[in-house]
Amino acid sequence: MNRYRNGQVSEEEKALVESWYAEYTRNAATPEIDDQELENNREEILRRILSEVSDKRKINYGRLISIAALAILLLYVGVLFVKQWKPHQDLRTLAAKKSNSNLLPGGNRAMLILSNGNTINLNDTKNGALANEKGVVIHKNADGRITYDQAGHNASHEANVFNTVVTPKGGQYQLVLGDGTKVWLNAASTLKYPVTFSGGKREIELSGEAYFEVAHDQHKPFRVISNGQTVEVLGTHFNVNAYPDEKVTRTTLLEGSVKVLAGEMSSKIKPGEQVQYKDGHLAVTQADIDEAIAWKKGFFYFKDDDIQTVMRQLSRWYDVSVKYEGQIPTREFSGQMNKNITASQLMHILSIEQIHYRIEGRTIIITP
Amino acid sequence: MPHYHAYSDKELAYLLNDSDEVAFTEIYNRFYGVLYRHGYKSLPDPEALKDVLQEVFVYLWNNRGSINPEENLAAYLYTAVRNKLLNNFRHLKIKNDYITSFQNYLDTNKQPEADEAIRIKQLIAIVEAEVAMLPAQMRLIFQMSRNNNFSHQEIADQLNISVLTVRKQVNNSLKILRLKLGSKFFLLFF
Repeated sequence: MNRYRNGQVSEEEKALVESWYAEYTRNAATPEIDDQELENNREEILRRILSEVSDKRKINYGRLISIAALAILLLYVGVLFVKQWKPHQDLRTLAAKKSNSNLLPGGNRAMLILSNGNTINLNDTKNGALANEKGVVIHKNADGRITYDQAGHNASHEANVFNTVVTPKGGQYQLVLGDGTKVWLNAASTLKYPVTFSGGKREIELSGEAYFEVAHDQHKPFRVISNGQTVEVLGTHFNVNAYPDEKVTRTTLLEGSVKVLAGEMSSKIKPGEQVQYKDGHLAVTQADIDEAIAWKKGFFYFKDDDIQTVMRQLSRWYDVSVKYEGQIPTREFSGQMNKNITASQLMHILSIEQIHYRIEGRTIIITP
Repeated sequence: MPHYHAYSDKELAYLLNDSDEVAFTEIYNRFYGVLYRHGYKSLPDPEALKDVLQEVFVYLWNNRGSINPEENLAAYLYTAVRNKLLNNFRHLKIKNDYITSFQNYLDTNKQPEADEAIRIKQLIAIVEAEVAMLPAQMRLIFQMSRNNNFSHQEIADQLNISVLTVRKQVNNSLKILRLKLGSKFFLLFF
């Protein structure tokens, strides 16, 4: 037996021990286990497994999350989520209990609309060449993004070949445009762009939210048109939040320089600043970079946000609709949350902050 | 939203192989009941048994990339639990029972089963013999995954979802398998 444990057994000895085990367990009396005990232990073990598994993952993650993000997390988490964030287990228990009725978080999902109107569902397609648009080959890569490769010299330079990528609620997607510009498209967003950037400018249209890392080309300014404003850049990193259901369109600059134009007005901003466009006016403010690009890093990020702002973000990520019954709570929320939790886990956290709700199918109803 | 109850063990194994955490949780929920009841027979100490199951599933997750989804997932889990129990036996309160029983077994001069594949089959039969003793919901989920004769309508009724959802689910899972097998096929040629 000791040798079996140490793995120093011959095949025959192994067979002997294992056969004995079969015999022993076959003949053992049927154990008396209470259903409730069985269920409680199921939850407890699952919680322990998930926490052990996620602890390991967190260590790997450690390097990715900057110290700044951690500091902010500590600060803001303190305001609201401190009780829930630390134990983590509360969430897991809840997950175990409600695993059958969870509204799952979003993922990499999008639809590509080609110039001829054909659509390609990017979730289902295999990696590799998806389509050929006048000599430009569209690839889906292993890391789950699409790229436009100008296939040599026969690539057309027609200006009017447009593609559109649409992310549903609960979907996000990454793509690399023909000029090498990288775009991260958030949920419930649409990006329309030419397959090849010919002529003297690079112009694309956005509805929703996207983060851009524009390839530098000082001869061809890059323009993002959304919600009545235009962002003009030469090469830079910035985020545009232009959801139709948000009152304010926010352009946040991380690197380089951008100019935001709206009608006759224009504002030029430096890294760390944000332009807010609202009711036809442009205003420059100091930006909270972490807030602006939290979504891209996989977080929800709230800072003195009212419940409706919070719920709009949830609605887009979990593909749920939100209704309010009676008076809308006036409390403000600050905090950071990993986006990979389910909607019911997140709502549970809000409920501890006196937000009352119920979930009916894909609708979350906030009650007084 | 995918309904993982409707996936077969093999489909779940493919998803697990792909680091799907929901699939992992479904595997845990599906097998927990039978493994706990079975483990309890030779280890009637809930705390120690919880540790054993925790270790087995953490091991499964950590090695998700190297499991072969084409192999029998149930057999993999049952043998993992058995081996863990045998390895842990020095911690057992009932160590003496164990030794006596083993001695008796040796004394009876029974012929041990030499073929490992047959031993695994025996083990599957032993572990699954007591499924009927599980609480209703655990039993249902386990049996549905074992019994291919459930119709789409029956699955829909049991899970309280529409037949259309079940059909879509089954189609989706077939698609997943095709995709997986497709890429293997691809690898064979290049």
